[in-house]
Amino acid sequence: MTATLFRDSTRTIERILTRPSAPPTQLDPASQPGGRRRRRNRWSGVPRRVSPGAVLGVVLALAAVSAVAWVTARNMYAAPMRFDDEGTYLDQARSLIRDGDLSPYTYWYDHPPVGWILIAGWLVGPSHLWDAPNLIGAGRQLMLVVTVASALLVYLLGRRLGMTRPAGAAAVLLFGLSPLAVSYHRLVLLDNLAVLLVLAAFVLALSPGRRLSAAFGSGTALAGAVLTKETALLMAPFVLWLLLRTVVPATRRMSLAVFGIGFGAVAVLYPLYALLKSELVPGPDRVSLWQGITFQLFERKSSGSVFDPGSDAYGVVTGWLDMDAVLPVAGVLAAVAALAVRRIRPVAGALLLLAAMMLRPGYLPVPYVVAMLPLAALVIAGVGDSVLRRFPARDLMHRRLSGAQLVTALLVPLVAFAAVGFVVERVVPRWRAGDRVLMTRDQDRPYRQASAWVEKHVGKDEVLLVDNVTRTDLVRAGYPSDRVVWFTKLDVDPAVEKKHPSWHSYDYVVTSSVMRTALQVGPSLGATLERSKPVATFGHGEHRVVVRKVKSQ
Amino acid sequence: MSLLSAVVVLTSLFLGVVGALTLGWMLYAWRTPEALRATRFAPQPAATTDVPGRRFSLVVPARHEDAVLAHTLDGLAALEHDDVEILCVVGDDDPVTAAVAEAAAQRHPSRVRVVVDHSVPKNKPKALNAALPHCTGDVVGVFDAEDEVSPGLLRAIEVAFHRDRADVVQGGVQLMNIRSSWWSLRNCLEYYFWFRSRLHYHADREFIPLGGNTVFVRTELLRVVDGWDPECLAEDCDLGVRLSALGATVSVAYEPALVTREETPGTLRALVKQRTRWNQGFLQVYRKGDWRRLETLRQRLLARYTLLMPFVQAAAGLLVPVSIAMILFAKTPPAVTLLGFLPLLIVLAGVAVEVVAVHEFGRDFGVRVRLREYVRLVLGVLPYQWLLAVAAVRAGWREARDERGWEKTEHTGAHRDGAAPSTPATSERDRVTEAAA
Repeated sequence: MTATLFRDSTRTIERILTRPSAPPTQLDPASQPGGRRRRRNRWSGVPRRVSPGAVLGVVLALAAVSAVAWVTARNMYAAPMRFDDEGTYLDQARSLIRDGDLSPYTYWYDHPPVGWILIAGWLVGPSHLWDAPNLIGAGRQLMLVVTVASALLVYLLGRRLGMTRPAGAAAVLLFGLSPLAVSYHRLVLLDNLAVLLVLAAFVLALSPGRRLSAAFGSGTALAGAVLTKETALLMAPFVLWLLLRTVVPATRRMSLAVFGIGFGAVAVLYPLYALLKSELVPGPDRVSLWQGITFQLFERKSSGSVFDPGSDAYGVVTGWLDMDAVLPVAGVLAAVAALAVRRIRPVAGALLLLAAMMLRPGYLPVPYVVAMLPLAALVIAGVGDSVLRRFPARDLMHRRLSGAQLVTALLVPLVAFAAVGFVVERVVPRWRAGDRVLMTRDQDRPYRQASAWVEKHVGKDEVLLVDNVTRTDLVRAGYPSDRVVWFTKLDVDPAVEKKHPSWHSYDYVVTSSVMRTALQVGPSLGATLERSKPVATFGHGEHRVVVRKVKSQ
Repeated sequence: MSLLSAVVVLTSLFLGVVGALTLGWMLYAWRTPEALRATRFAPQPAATTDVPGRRFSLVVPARHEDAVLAHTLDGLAALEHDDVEILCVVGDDDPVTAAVAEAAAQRHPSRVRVVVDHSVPKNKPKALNAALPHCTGDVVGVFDAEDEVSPGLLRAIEVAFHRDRADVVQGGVQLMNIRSSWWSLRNCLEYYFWFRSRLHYHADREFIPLGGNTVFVRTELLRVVDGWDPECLAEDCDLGVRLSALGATVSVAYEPALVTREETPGTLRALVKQRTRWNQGFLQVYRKGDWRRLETLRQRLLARYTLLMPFVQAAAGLLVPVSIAMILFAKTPPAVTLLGFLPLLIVLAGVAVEVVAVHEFGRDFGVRVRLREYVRLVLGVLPYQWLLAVAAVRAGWREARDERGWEKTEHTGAHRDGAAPSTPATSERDRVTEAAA
């Protein structure tokens, strides 16, 4: 058959074919694919031709992100002191790697699992290239990577929200240098992973090329965030708001459909998993997704009102503000002002919703503030940016201003001057002091010393009651996983109770501040502590770690 | 991992990849607003003098088409273009149709001519080849006897030839009768996605199976490649593959106002038969191997996949129920079972996209889409998939059987089915064939 393909010589074909290489005579360059459109970078949507501004942007962004990376990384294993939740997520990630289970105990849908699935992915792969002093340290390395990625996305999001390059870089610095932020960004928290995914969803929703694939990515990123931390669902309306603002009528329906497909395809996996394990709805002798959600929404102990000085919520909020009040407070104030600025209104709305949710009586998790940090940084930078843009420099030069405009023209430099003064006088010294503590102090020493003491003095066949920080250390040191028991599982998990029925099943208890403040968890912990005496104490005050030996009968 | 788990994983990955590719190509035209705009014809220039005039030779093969031919030829004769000839090809054994064609030639003496095809047995590529020596135009266009052609089409085609420096221009073809039966909406949607989106992907990758009508090729080029393959059941696809292999520039455009309108086959049987021939034609083109001359590996992979689609489709159609059964009954680890849902998720994603597309179709063509159509669309997913699988299996079986004495069986087959089909536009002929059978 190929004979019919070439009746004449190839040369004839060459002559006859219209070669696309010949210069095309353009009738309407706009309608021609690739005609008038400038080639764009497929990731950022930034025009590909390198302009001085683009170079400046790259330099500014890299400088800001590097500063954030440096401050976050330095001394990250030693401060802040490791805490129980970090150990929990790493313990669950390790359980996933070793046994394929979502938890070393019974997984009861307390949180959706994508967070520690990602952590497990990190531990299986890249973590091997980078030594860490302990398992939580390996998790903190991932958090550093996440923070750097989030910082880049903050810049990109700022740019896509129409901010100038310096404003975008300023947002990155606000996001990454506040001592409050540095402290929480180092901790292995599901919130940090969720924030990264929410930022990705925002950035993709604002695709300058209005790509269908970006809408799909935005939906999957948002669903990934929700399956990392349910509270990310609060951000869904704002992602959708930005998407609706981005799309044009010709492809609007398809974009929304594809966004929904991306979101649904990922989000459905969680209830589907529960359904497959017959754990979707409550039943006798089994955990369920339904119970997990109702627990989180309704049954968790209320933290009280943030305005009641005796409440837990008050303690949580003042704890944040002690570390840094500027970013959260200025963020919320700027968000109110930003409602007047069309470009950043959705982000301001998202921040205000998160702030308003704090006021409702209910459980206020300690890391709740993490989700607010990038939004606060963007809103502050965005408001500053639009105030500066209002400055009618050109009109002032040509002296063609009305009275009101003149007032604005004089007010803007005044406000800017005051702001700069405030930042230089108040913010910079405090942030520097706060960050210096985080970058130099060894706050984690008591934990390390306690673990070292146990490894030296306690045999591997003994049974220990510990928090999840010590647990990760000891299991890594070779103690059998089922003999190093996490204290919150006492009186709750039937499997633990069966193996270690009462206080005298335990040989040692290692107490930390979280265990001492959680005595009300159940009677068994109290009983075991009562019948034990300290044999070694590390550190002092609230943060001391104590090894206690349980009396033999 | 147990054997069962391995089966579930492999099945899901196969269906997942096939489904994702199909979905991705369905959405290709919508990938950006600019891309969607570029799938349409270029706006006509203000002064026609900007575009060098081309003479069009429109070939209309007609066999047992006396019921619809007169209307079609009148429509073609009324096309808004100064330099057109219409060659209606009739068989020497089909006096009824010939009479209709002659009458049309008398009504439009300056435009319509009748060409008699003496070949035995008759089929569409032979009819087209019979007309080729009589074509005096710069460009040859093909239409089927039942086509409803938009009056402004040729001007847009002329601009496309000029603007894209094209050797081939493929216009849109659209089935319109979404309400006729439970499957007609799905059939219409297939055309919608194929001409609106998928063919643009093929044009951009420079490998394209052309459509059976509303296709325009430079006459000079068509003569050099000896016209159409007279023995191929998908002569249009074959021509596209051969021209792609030569590096021809193909321009594709879909403009709702300018599409050629057709109807779905009249019966389910006719649909299966039509699809069987289409599939068999693709397999023939695959075996001919002209696609091996394509320049890049990616093109050749795309060609393999496209031409073997009947087999892939059959496998998918048969595996979907297997996959569902495995989700329901197989005891596998949760992660494996979750992966088992992948095909189902992609099917649901496809339905969501189709719902949007039906809405866009209704808006583009001013057709009111009722709730009933949406319900049919959703409920018809799997039955239609199985219908395609039946046609694919049938095609494979016939092709395998035909391997012994290919020429002879092929000829009798073509004879039995009347004119050999084209893809995708064979509806009216199918109906006639069905009626005759």
